[in-house]
Amino acid sequence: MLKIDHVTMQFGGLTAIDDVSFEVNDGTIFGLIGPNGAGKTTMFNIVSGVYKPVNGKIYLQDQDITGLKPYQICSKGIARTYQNINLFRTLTVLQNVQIGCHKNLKSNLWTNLIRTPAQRREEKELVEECMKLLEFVGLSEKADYMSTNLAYGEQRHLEIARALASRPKLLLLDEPAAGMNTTEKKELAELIRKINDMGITILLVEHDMKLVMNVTGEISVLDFGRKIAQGTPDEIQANPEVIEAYLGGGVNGN
Amino acid sequence: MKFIKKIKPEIWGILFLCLVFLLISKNVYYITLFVFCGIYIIAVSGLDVLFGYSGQISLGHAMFYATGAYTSSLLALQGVPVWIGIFAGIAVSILLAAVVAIPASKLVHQFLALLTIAVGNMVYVFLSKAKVTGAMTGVKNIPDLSIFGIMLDTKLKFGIFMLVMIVLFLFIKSRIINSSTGRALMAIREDVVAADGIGINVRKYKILAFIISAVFTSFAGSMYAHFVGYVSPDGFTGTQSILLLTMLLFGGAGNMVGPICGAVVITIMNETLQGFSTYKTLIYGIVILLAILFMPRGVFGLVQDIIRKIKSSFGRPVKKNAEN
Repeated sequence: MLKIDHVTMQFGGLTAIDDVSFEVNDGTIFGLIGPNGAGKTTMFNIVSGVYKPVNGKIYLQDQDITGLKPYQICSKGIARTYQNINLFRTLTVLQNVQIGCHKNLKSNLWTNLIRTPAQRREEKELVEECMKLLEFVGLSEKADYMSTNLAYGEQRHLEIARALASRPKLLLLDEPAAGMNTTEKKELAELIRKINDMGITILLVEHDMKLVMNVTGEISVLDFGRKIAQGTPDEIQANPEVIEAYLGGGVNGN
Repeated sequence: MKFIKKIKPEIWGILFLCLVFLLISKNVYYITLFVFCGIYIIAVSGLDVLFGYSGQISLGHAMFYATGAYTSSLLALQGVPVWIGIFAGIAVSILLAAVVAIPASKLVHQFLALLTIAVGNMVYVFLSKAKVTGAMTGVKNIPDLSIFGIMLDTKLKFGIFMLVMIVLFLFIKSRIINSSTGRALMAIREDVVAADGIGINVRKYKILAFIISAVFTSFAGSMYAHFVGYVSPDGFTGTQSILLLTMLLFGGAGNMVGPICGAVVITIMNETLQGFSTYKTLIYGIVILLAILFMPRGVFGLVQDIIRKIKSSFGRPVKKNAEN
């Protein structure tokens, strides 16, 4: 699905990502972990087109997507959520998801002005599709709420619904469990699995080890911008280099 | 049922507008005032698409007002049919909007404000120096509008025409904002990063917002020129741009009703304060200050808040919807 090929990213003199390669297979849940400042979010920003890598290539289903703009990358089938929730705050929950569908709509300024039958049908189907998505993440009853009035965990779910609205092949989740309590985390793990069951490949960055070890099939570990390990959750937990760099004794305590 | 509920307030609005017009239709002075309100409603609604919906500020919007007014009046004086002149004005404004918006789409906040002020001033200086625009003397004897062979030579006829135009342009605006285009603009206003990330071509829509806005304001400018019959650069200074933005902020940006409130209240206020020329600026300033301090969402926002409070004090559940 996604292939990261020897990607390097520098900011001034600082090398944030240093010659990292990994591959996310179709239909899997892939975890990307590492201590603070390891370059996980930078990696996300490279994949989603916010940054252009200094070196290396990104392939989506063997298609080179390096250096495309974020909206172009989204139209190729990669959607993402953000670490510090970027919702359209004063719009309703439903509108947020509708905007998520934007790239799939055929309407343009002229058809919107004339309200062609096709445009009307599309708008009607759009609402239905968005309500289904809201139901999927458990927010259908709050469709008319202003998104900023949602609880924190609900806002994270809404971000996921908005990303799903673009009908992605690959979903990038940037610390979706941040700030959530144990129950919410369990629900989130459930949701991530359900999304994966729909056939969407997931790339997950997360600090919560329990969640990552639970849901992912394969994990890459970054430390100071370099990849230090890759493998199944069990392999990663047993890898001495990873334990030294990041996990410490914590994971054994779990 | 849902359809009727949805359409109702708009129909009521149109009926109310017609009623107001009927009541004032005997008095030429009131009709003149009505036409000016209408011109500003169209211009400010256009600015609202840019500022209220796409979140881009323009402190030089008089440039589009001027291009509309000057292009259509100069062409009309050359014997070009009036409506072709008006559409030419719109075309020139679209061109100007694109020229401004292509660099402007990369700028935010104060930089965008500075750019629009600069271009606005450039247009003003051009108007006041160039031979073709008649320099400071402006353009005189601009012919009356005609539509379907009817000359709009009396104030009453123009008033009726204006009524139709107000409804038409508000209708166009509502269609734009209640669609995928409007949602894309609002997404950009709310969060540029997220809008980009979810597949909205931010640059394209920022430029589009400028163009839509310019079309509205340019048309209003043409109406002004043909109604008054005379244009001079004085009407298109930075003060005019600020006036448009003041109306928008006073009424409340980012909705259908706010720009109407702002345009009507400030036009009438400007008119009634003519008698107090000494204190006019002072009163004006105080009103603006009060508006900014106590009505951050404009008159319309204030009314909404009051209605919400009344409703909740009667114990009825208040729907937390997002009518901005």
